[in-house]
Amino acid sequence: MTSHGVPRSSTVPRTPQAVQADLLKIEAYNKLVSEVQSLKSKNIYSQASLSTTTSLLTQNPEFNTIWNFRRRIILHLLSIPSDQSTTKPSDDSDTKLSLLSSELSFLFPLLQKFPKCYWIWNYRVFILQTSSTTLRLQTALNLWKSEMGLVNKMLSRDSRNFHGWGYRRFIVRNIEVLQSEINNSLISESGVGQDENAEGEGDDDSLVEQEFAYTTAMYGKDLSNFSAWHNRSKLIPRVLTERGATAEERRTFLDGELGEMQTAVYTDPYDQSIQLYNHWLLLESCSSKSTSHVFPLTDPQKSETLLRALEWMRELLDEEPDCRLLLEEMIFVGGLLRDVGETEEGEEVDREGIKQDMQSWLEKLMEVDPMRGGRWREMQERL
Amino acid sequence: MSTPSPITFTNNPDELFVEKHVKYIQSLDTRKDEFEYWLTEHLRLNGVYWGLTALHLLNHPTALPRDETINFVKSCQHPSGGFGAHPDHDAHLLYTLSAIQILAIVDALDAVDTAATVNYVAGLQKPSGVFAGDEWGEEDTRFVYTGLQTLKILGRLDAVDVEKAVGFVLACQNYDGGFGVVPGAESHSGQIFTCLGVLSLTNTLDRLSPASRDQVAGWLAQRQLPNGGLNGRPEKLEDVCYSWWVLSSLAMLGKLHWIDQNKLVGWILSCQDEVRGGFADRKGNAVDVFHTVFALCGLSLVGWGGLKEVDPVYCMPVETTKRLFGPK
Repeated sequence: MTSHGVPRSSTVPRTPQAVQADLLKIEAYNKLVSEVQSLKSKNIYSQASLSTTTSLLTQNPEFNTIWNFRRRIILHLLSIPSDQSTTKPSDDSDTKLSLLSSELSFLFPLLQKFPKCYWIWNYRVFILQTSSTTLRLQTALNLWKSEMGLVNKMLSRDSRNFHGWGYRRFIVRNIEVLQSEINNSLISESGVGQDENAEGEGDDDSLVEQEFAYTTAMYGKDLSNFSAWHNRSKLIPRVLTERGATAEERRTFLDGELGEMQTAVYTDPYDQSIQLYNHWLLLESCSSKSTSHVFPLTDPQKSETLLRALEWMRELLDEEPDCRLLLEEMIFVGGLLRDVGETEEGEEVDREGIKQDMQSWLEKLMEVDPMRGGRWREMQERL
Repeated sequence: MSTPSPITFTNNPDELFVEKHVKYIQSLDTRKDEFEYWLTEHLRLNGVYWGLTALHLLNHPTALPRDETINFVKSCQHPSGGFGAHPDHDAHLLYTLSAIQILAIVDALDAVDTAATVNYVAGLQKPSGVFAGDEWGEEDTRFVYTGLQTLKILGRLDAVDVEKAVGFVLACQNYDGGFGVVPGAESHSGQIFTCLGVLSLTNTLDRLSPASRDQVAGWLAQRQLPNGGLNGRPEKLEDVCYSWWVLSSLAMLGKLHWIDQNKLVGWILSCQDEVRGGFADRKGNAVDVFHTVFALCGLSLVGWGGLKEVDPVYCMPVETTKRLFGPK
């Protein structure tokens, strides 16, 4: 009912044989559905019920009601002791772990087949959250950590998968929280020493450097990956804080990023992903409104940064005079520059000159980008 | 806020196959010999809403039997007040909004226990202001929109903390002006629609500065590709459903003229199935009722002749929202 990318079949009606085959398929499917619905209405939360939902969900993972039934089954199975005659807590914990692990294994091929199905992702989150509340913290943490392998695989298959990136941020946050809980409990039980399962990461529970490096690797493969650039912009404030970066180190970092952007824009001036990230860097560092905590620049430093950006953009415009993204970015940079007070030499910014430049860029933009002409005309009126 | 400026459609040899689209929508519930019909039961109530809205925009408001429609909606309500997609399906906000929208469109809100629905929705708001989709707790700006629109239709926004909900939505705005699923998530046109929808229906759109509104409108205008179609995120393919998510957002911001509407119309029309009716995600693909309603909503927003006007905030005919909320 919400099909994407499915080719329109021919207008020829199905043959009687094809209709018959479909009817048989429907009959078998509906028999399975009524079987599961009957178990559900009778609240039968057994291993057998679990297997029946497996068959149905494998055929139709969009059937969210059945995922909910499966959640209830899992919660019930976790709540009963594994062997009622000999209750050994450690065995019990192993049973729980194997139940939750087998759920995660069941989901993996389904996610690969239906990477955009919200309900599968949600159910996976439910299993992991349940692990945090039912298993020993370190055991749960190991489950969460192995999710990084899954999310790497999903994102290497589709580097823009919306669910994949959201899931990645979610997993990282949860690993950090769990790790920090474990570290705190180790400290409070001082003398207990390190858990044998811990991976010797000391007391540092932040994954921010690892995640930052991941965005570098991802855009290294494909500059046009806006999801990676987006995540990078969200990570940078934390990266710099955790590195304890001084104002000067922050400026050096900014220069490095801007330099990368210059190269990237030269590589593909028509790519919106790069343009948007470059936009963020300049907006964060050079906006006149306030001093950024991420990139603290003085007014002269701001105008110097903006003038430098405009310089290479002008050079590129000579080679690519019709590039609408470049023209738009130059107008944006010009606007920032007009708002910043003074230059490095303590002189006033040449506001009139910039305004004239912006006018000519806007005229060119209206010529090369008539689709968005309404926007450019409004901008011209305001200039 | 969003009067589409009358434009002249030039260069458009295509036509809108109204009768075929009506027949296509009417045929949807007669396809019980197709496997797909059974696989999509979880969307049945949404499907009724999409089909009904499409028929109203096509000016065929009585093409679906009213009593059967109301009875079906009633059969989907749970004692909790929420609605499932089908009588034996669990309740969720996504279906609850569709149920209430259907009843609002056919003017039959008194057919169900709306007081229970208000309690159901209000019970899903979390301390951060966000709404969970159902008892299992998935949080998403989509659910802030579905929850608040349901309450707005029922005249009970007072049942929740609107200020906190608005605060949550504002926290989801990114530097590019767009909005994501949760704070920190990448901007996405569908999410921008739900977030601007929340701000519009709570009369808090002015919480975004003029510069910020221009920025998100600029991002949305960038979604138009050279063929006229709209995509949902940078560097992705065009898709008919963004003719709604992007266009309604631009309409809420009063910036429909920031894209080439004429080119968009030509592109939307090219996604019709000229033989059997309905619209596909893009030209030549299989049609479905989801893309059909959003194609028609897009055409309606730019004032395509012969279509009824759609409300960009509520995705219902303006006739309905005027009856509910009075003229704007």
